[in-house]
Amino acid sequence: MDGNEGKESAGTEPGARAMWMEKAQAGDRLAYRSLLDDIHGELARYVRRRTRDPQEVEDIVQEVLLTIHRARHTFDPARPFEPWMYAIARNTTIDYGRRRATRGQREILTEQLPEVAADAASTDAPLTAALARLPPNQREAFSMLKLEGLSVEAAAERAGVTPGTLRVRAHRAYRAVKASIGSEAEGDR
Amino acid sequence: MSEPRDDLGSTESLIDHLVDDLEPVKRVWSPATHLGFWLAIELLVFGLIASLALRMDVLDQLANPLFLLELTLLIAAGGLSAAMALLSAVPGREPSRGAVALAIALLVGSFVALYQEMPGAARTLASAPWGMACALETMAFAIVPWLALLWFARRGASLVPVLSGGLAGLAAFLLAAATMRVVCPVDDFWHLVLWHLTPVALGLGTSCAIGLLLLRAWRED
Repeated sequence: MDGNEGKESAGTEPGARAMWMEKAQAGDRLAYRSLLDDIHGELARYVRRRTRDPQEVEDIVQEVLLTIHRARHTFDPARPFEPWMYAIARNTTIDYGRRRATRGQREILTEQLPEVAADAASTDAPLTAALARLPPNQREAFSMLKLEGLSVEAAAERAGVTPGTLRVRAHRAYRAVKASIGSEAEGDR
Repeated sequence: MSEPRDDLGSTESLIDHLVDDLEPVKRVWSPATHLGFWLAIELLVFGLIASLALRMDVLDQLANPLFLLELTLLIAAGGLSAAMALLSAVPGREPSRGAVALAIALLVGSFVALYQEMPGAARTLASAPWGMACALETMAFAIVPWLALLWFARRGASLVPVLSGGLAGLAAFLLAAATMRVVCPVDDFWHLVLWHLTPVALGLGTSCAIGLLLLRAWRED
């Protein structure tokens, strides 16, 4: 366990984060923004100490923020915020490392394959392959915004979700596509 | 609310999106509340079974200290596993190694009590081949509490879905095995191991797999 886990940052009043999250659970966007703005720097420092590749820090922090967003219904305002947040940060960082290791192994295996797909190596092939690996709702969000050029509102209406949800889906898709194409480029080197 | 920026990859942009996406959420019940409900379900199931099918010599058996110890340890291990399953569904409240070690110690203690309880004559393989009905009954007794526990765990956000699933299965099947001890009149060591405890192991394995599939769904959009 990290020495700073369970402590609030110097500039934050004790209990402020728990209070912000309690308000966020009730739908208070201002409180939620205060919370996310307050924690993301601290999360970046936490992650930076645990990953070898500094370029991955932002990806992991974003994954942690998304996980916090999804798990916010489990936070109990009667308890301190930090153990809850750091449990998510620790787990997400470990998970990310595992996924990276698995991806690395897959790349090694791919390099050993014969050149069966050489004729399919058009410029769009990595993007198509990356999109194919996305969950359907993320693929749909990405395609509507980035390939079809729809507005967020129009895409959200077509998907039957709020614009915010659609943006989050597109964000996750974008990061997954970026990671996938990046790892393929590394494999080509 | 400011218009979210279009640079999809940045953390600032993600924060904009998350704030924009924010909806009120219903806070999940505490693990203690879930545990209370689950114990009520478990008691209902036990009450129903006890009213229909207790073994004839149950009072004599309960007067046997080793039988009582075996049963108590089995129930304690099941209850502790249920509590840990529910705690593990809340980030930051995952069970400590000490709690897991305690559950294992209770299980081992129960098994030792069972072994000591059976005289040498009751450790033959004579009645081992018959007992499929006991295995099926153990599974039947476990099913409702198991599903309830998985459902309660699913309402949370488990960061360790295999552990949460496994503990849920272990809890429900251990208490089902404890129930079977006051239902099945056969006191033969190998019968109990093969037909009462093997379903617990199968339930544990199945529940780990179900946990992996079911209890990480909250991460997906």
